[in-house]
Amino acid sequence: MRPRLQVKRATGILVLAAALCACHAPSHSMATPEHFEKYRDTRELKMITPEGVRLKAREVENYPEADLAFWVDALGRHMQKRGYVLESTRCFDTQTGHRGCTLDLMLPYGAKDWVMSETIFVVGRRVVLVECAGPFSLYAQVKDRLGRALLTFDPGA
Amino acid sequence: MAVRQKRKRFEAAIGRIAAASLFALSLGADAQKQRSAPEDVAERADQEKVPHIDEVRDTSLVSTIVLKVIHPAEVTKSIIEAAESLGGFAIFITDERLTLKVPPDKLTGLLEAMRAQGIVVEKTLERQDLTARIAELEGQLKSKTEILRRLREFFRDSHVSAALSVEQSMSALVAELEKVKGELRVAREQARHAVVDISFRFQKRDRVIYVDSPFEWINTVDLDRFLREF
Repeated sequence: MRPRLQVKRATGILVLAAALCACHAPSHSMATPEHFEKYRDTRELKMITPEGVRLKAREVENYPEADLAFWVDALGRHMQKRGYVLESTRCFDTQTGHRGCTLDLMLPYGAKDWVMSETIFVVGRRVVLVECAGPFSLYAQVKDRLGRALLTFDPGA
Repeated sequence: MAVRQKRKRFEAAIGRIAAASLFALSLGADAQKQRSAPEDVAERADQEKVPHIDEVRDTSLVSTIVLKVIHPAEVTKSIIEAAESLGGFAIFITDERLTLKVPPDKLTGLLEAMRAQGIVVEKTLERQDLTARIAELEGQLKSKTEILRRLREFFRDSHVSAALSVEQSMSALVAELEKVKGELRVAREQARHAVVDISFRFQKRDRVIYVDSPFEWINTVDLDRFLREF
């Protein structure tokens, strides 16, 4: 009786842990911009174009807890200190009512000049980042489509 | 007697050589004058046509720009057309760089035209006041011309051995005058046209440096990391 009970308990704990993990896994969603293809074998929001412009969402802890304007300012200053060129900052409201800001940063990388676009959403104790990068000439071709798709971004609960 | 005759013949020959040299020198100077006269007129006319950015000061303007565009070849063509419509011209064209000259007062117009073509990610403007330099060169030119004029008078009145030394001084002076004229021409040209150096790529390839942010997550924002972990 006793070993069977232990097995049941262990199974229960495992199921609970798996459920907790599922709850904590990022549940970001966004319409796939035209020309991008979504990776379907992962829970992460991850996309790529045939030319190699990459997009991925991730989240970090909002620590010290600050608002969107603070993080946009801090990130812009830091990246410029590092030598990136801050080409533009544009803020918008998503269809789900979340405020986000996109910083387009440029830098020479390998034989080409690249753009790294960093979109920030602050959701309570989380900072959700949508990162996109590609050579300037390729990124410029998808920039508007990406901007439209970001309006549909849902940072999840 | 024979020695005296030989000496007279020798002096006469030297005199003829000196006269010929002086004639050649003055011909050269006149030719230079004739050559430069229409240029000066044209230069003056141009200066009247193109008002200086500063009416009193002669200023050299050099602007360096990194312009990001999708199609550099098409943009190069379009920028050259814009510069030509503003009275400027291209002096250096490659796939990645373009150097233009425009009248200083048209520089702002050209920069605006460029902004419409792409993203200006870097811009520097170097301004150098050339007024003092031009005044100095003009002063040198005037004084050296005056010395040359006096030397010519000495030359006319001097005996053979003195004439030779005067001629040497005159030759050196003419060389100095030409140098001053050249420097003056360059300085005036720098004041007459602003130079715009456009690059379609970053010039420095090692611009990213590693500095720490007090905010932990900000340190994770990096192109290298993004590509590696994608």
